[in-house]
Amino acid sequence: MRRKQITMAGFLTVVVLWASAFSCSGSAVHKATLASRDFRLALQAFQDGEIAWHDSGKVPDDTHRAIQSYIADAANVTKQVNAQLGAGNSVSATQLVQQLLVSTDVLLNDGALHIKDKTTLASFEAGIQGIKTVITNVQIYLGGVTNAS
Amino acid sequence: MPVNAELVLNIITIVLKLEPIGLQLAQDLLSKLDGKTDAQILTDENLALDAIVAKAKAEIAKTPAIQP
Repeated sequence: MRRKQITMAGFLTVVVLWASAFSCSGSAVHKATLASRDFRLALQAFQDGEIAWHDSGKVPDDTHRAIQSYIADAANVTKQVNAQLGAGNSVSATQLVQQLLVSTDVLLNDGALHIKDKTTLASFEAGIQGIKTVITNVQIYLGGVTNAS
Repeated sequence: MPVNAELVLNIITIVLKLEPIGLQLAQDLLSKLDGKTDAQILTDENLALDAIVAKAKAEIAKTPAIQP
């Protein structure tokens, strides 16, 4: 179990470092597209990790439902971000990304209240912080996209 | 043979300065190998995001809700 948590934390670290490497080349839309992919990878890793925590009894059922609900919402919002990105509408995309950041903060605060196991809590907080970093990267790259509308 | 601290520092500085160039080359290479346009990447991403939503919904469905 601890191995899975370490693997997830390691994976998120790699994702964050990988995301930071994208400041080097490509158009603003391309960078934002790749940053959006990084977010999806981080979200996917977090989802798998959280399911493992829940299956091992470290996360209570109601918190598990709330976290998976956040993950589903975040994935749906990311699809909207991608649609706006594809249309070159950076203003709408930025607003949606801001919404993601707010809901991630809410999850961080709410989830932390209900996870009692210290190791799991630390991994949960590290995972959420990793996700926030990737979201911030998307925001930064969106700032460089010229609005088509 | 004594180690020249200044030389070591200079080598570290050069390596750190070269690192972003290495990352850029790696990124360019990956983009070429990948060969996907942004539109194709976004289409693939949406499929992957759909899978995440489906998995989350399955988890919610199989987890009993606590009755107040």
